[in-house]
Parts: sequence; structure tokens; C-alpha cells
Amino acid sequence: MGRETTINSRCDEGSLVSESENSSSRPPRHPIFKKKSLRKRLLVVFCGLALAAILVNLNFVLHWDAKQTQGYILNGVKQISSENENPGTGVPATFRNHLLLVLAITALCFAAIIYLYVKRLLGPLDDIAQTGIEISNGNLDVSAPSNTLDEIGELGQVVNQIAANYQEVLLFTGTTAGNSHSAVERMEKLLNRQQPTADVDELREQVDIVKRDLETLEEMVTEFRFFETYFDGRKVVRHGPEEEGS
Amino acid sequence: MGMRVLVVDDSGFMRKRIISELKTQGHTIAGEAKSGSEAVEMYRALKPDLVTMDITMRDMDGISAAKEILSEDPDARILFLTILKEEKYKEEAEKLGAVGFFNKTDPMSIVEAVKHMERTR
Repeated sequence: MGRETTINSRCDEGSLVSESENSSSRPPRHPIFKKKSLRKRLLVVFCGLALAAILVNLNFVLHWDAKQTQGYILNGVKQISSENENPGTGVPATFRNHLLLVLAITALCFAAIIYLYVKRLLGPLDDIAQTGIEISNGNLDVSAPSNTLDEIGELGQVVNQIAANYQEVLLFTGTTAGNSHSAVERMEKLLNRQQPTADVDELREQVDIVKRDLETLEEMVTEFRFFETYFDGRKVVRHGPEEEGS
Repeated sequence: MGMRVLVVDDSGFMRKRIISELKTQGHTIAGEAKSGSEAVEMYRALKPDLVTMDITMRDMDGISAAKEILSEDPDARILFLTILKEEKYKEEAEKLGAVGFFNKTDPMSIVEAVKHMERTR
């Protein structure tokens, strides 16, 4: 759905039914139910935790009846003193054990849900962060995970698009510099054939400056690692078994 | 009368440049795809007159996407626009049945190629 929205919104002609047209006949949906499935998942997890907490409370309400409660209150002092004399026996001890068991199970359930959820959420986020670090260090031969339709997938796609743009601009710059470098070299050859005059010397100096600048640009582009390709100093070559070592 | 063009490139910046060039010539942009798989999907839905296809893309590359499109529609007109300068890709593109192979850094050749295609369609 998310990808469809992106594709359709980019069409000039409306050959495909656009998302806005399609949704105009339907009643507006609450923002929480729109494509952001991470929000839905978060909602489900927190509702699940709240439900677990309610069930624990219900357990007490249903199993600890009024008569028993009255017994606790009326015999409270006596039972507590008896408990002090013989620890681990009597109604308060049973109640305490029951309470401890329920709390332990609840804590385990909460810990398991939170651990699994955090692992599932933070795993791809760590990968995206790592991809971002690689890109910032000049390695564009990386891809962020982008195969889910939630915000994490969207973030991965954005990171990959930034890398693709960055690569395109750099390779464009490198190729253009390479083309200009070749042209400048031809100009240099022509100049070398001329009789030395003040103007020719001045022109040669200027050509040298342009050549050095172009070399600097080419060197800069060569320092990057590109996705499936590399810049050989003048042109872009695709990685492949036959190119390796050439 | 301009053509309906599907622009395929993983770089938004490059798509923008190509689209601007095509619009200047009076063509309509049928759609934009940022990967080979999106291109195949959109070709089926839009049936454009021309596809401008990048080669190096992160999801499915342009050569694989072109193969898939041409296997479904042998009359599809695919123009490869790439930054790769190697002849072997040009040959591969021709073997596939693509209508052209041009370097992205040479906008004038692209303009001429599209004009030629418009005249001969």
C-alpha cells in the first residue's frame, strides 16, 4: 500500500488510480490505522501488556473471595503471630506464595514480550544506523534493510535513496571531470606544438591549473566505494568477474 | 505529439534531470520507478511508449528488468541511460532488443535519440 502510494502519486496522467482518488469515496480513517504498521504493532504490544496486567488483577478479584478476606482481617493479628512462630505455614504463607508465583509469571511474560519486541525493532534499526555510518565514511556499496512496509522499511529505503543519489552525483562529477581531463590533455598537446610565446606560456599555465583541479576531483571520486561499480579515474566500470584486476 | 515515458532510475536526482529534459521536449511522464522490479510492475500497468532505464540499481538491475519487460512485450521500447561507458553493455543492450544505449552525462545525445524514436514510432 505504501509503495503503491509512492508509485501512483508520481504519475502525471493518472493511468493508475491515484491513492487520493481511491480514498475519496471511503470515510477518512484514523491516522493510527493508516499504513504505519509499526504504530499498530506498538499499540498491540502495549494493549497486550495492559491486558496481562488486568488479568493478574482479575485473578486476585476472582480467587480471593470476601469470606477469605474477612478471615484475613478478623484473624489477621493471630495468624501473623502464628506465622512469626512457624514461618512458611498458614493462610498468609499460602497467599504470599500464590502472590509470588503470579508476580513471577507476569514479570517473565512482560520481560519476554519486551525483549522480543525490542530485538525485532532494534535489530533492523542497528543495521540502518550501521549503513548510515558506512555511507558517511564514503562506502556506498551498502544497502539498508528496506523489505518491510513499516517505518523501519521506509527509513531503510530513504537511506538507500540517499546513497543512490550520492553515488550518482559523485560518478557524474567523476565522469564529467574525466571527459574534461581528456579534452584538456588534447589542448595541451596542441599547445605543445605551438611556437613558445608569452600568450602560449600563459595559456599552458592556465591549462595546468585546470588539469590539476580535474585530477583532484578525479582522485576524490576514486576514494569512494560504489555500489556494483568503481571509478577508474576517468570512467565508471561495473564490478564483475571479468573486470576484477583490470 | 509527445510520447508517454516511464523513467527508471534509483537516483531521485537523476530522475528529476531526465524528467525535466523530457518535459522540455513535450513528452509526458507516465510514471517513475526507482528499481527494476518497480519498473516491471509499472510497465505492465501503464504500457508506456518508451522506458528510460538505468542499469545499476539496488533492487533489480536494469538489464534484468529489461529482459523481463521484453519477454512479456517484445515491442517494448527501452532506452538505456547509464553512467557506464563500456561497449560490452551497449552490445548486451542491443542483443536484448533495446532501442538505444546512452551515457547520462551526454544530455544532447539523449534528446536526439528520443526525437528520433518519436519520428520513427
